[in-house]
Amino acid sequence: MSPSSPTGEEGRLAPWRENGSRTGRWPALRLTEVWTFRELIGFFALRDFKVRYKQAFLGVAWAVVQPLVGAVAFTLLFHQLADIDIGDHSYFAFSLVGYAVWSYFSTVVVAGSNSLLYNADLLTKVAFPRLVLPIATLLPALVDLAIGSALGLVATIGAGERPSPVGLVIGLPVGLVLLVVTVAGTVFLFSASIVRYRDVSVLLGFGLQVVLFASPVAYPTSLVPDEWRTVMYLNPLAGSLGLLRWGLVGMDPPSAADLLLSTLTAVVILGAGLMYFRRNEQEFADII
Amino acid sequence: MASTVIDLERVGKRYRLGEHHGSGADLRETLAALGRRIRHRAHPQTRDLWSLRDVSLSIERGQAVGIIGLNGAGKSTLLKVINGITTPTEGRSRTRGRIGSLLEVGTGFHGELTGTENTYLNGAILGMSRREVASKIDSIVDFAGLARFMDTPVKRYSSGMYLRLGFAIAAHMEADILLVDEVLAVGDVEFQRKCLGKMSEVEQSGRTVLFVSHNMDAMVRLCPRAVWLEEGRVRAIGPTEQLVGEYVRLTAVEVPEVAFVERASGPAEIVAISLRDPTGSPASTLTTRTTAHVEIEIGVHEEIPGLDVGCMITTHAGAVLLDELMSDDGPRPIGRPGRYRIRCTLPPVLPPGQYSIGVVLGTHYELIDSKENAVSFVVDGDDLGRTRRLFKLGLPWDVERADDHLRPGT
Repeated sequence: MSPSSPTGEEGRLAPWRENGSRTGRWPALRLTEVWTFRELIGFFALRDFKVRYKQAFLGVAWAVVQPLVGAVAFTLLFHQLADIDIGDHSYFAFSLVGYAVWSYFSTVVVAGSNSLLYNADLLTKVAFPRLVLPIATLLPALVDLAIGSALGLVATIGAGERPSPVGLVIGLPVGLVLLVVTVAGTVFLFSASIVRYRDVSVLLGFGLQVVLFASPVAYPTSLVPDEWRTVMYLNPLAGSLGLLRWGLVGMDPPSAADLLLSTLTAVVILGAGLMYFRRNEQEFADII
Repeated sequence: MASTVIDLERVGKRYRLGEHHGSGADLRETLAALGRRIRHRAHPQTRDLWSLRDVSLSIERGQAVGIIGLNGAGKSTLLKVINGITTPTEGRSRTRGRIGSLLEVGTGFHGELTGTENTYLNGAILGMSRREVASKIDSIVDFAGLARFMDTPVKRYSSGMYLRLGFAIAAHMEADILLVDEVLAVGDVEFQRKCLGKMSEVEQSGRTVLFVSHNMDAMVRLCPRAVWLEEGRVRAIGPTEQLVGEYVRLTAVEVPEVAFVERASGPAEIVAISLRDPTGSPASTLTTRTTAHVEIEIGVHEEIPGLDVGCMITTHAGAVLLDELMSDDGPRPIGRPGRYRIRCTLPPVLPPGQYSIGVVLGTHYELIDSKENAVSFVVDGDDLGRTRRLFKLGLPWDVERADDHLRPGT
């Protein structure tokens, strides 16, 4: 027997692994199990990233072209035509960050929600922690988010504005975590429910449009009347956008109360998504 | 070192038919079901199918165990429960150590990625670390014989190359428990030989093998012990040879002739196959002295130059004894549209036992129709104690004196 075999020497057996029907109301989250499969998450993410740019003439250059074109469209439409004003700051930089965050959200929500469906043959033939699939979809689009954010920073400096150093050190990472947590929860919830209800993919299409209009992607929160401000920050994207723009564009950060609201929603979404996923994953291979 | 590595305790697996079946249900169905539940507290339209019921099983380390049973007896579900792909509805299944499977080699390959990229990805899916794959990749490439193609996207691979790479990866995983399900049915002879070789290697290294197959011959050779499943329950556990003997005896049904529904859609088709005795009537039992005929009726709907017919005789254990082509006996004109009745003479060469006949129709380049194990029959008679032979030919023998000093002229 090879020394690297998990059972090792004779008599030393690996611990029992149990496969039994669920007991109890609350599912166990078993996050350490996901951690032991972190390499697989990386390989799935790498696969999706590589596949996206295989046989593409422009290759990774797309990650630069897309946000620029998006932000130009935003600027023409909302700044020039609709006359949305964000004060002393560069609207172009503002919309670059908005576009980067929005495209991360929409890309990952669509890819992640379909991740179980697209890998149905794996689900029915190989045993591995199912959470790995939606988690892996969070990673490849981070590259685009980073490029979009960097462009935003360059645009800010190019327009003669000053990014906020405190915002870059604190706002940027916290805003990023807030965004990823929100997307992760959403993706867990939708990927698990899409296995059973294909309707969810239809819901997803117009749901995303509603979220786009309800989030301060193309307009600043200052346009929203004060009494609606609280409602706006119930949407964690508002908190995340505020934090990122604080650092990258140099705008004022959202208030602590607003941030708390966004964070709470994000945590609730993550918890609910994780719970729903764990409650239903035992059935995935049978009903997909 | 008696130590259990697979332990099933009253395992049951239920599938719901009628609801949530197949490719996902839609929301309306669920709402309707919810409405029904509120009103009647029951699901009138669901039917339960127990794929496994009350299965208790314990397998020690180092054992090779075969699983036999008819289609739908629950063999594949059993492997899925042990593997952890699906969860039992009742009872529990426990395993110790890493599980490898030759169930579906190459699952998870992505066409756009190269052979090397897919090797790492597939290794990770099977539970191997990146370091482990890195240390074995040379050996994997060598085993698959694909050294020149590792930088090619696998979408350009032939199906044989695809299978070889998938198998090489799975075979290099050091599993404590190896699950094998019917892989021997796919791939060429060389691939099957490698597969069997890998299984016995794993078994000899003191690890555990679970083998599901309809190839009773391989089962008896590889697995000392077997589990017989019947309608989801364990019918018997015991020595494979004994179980297989009984299984074959009970499940064999002789069908001397069969006619197929004509589709008339393809270019040509097999219409009927039968086994006939010397008087021309269908026979399900032959003696060891009967010369019989395999009669094949075909319908040809288009002009097909070079159309040919093949006939295979297989033992009940799955060994192919004969695979004869009509063109071996000289050209026969069956390529023009019409119906043909074709007879192949089967001399009395088969020892007592159970056999089945399969027929293929096609050209040198293309398989047009095939009917495997369509007709089955028994050869009755005394085996004269020579139970292991496949043919009874009555070969010519010759004797001459070989002690030199008795030869004339010395």
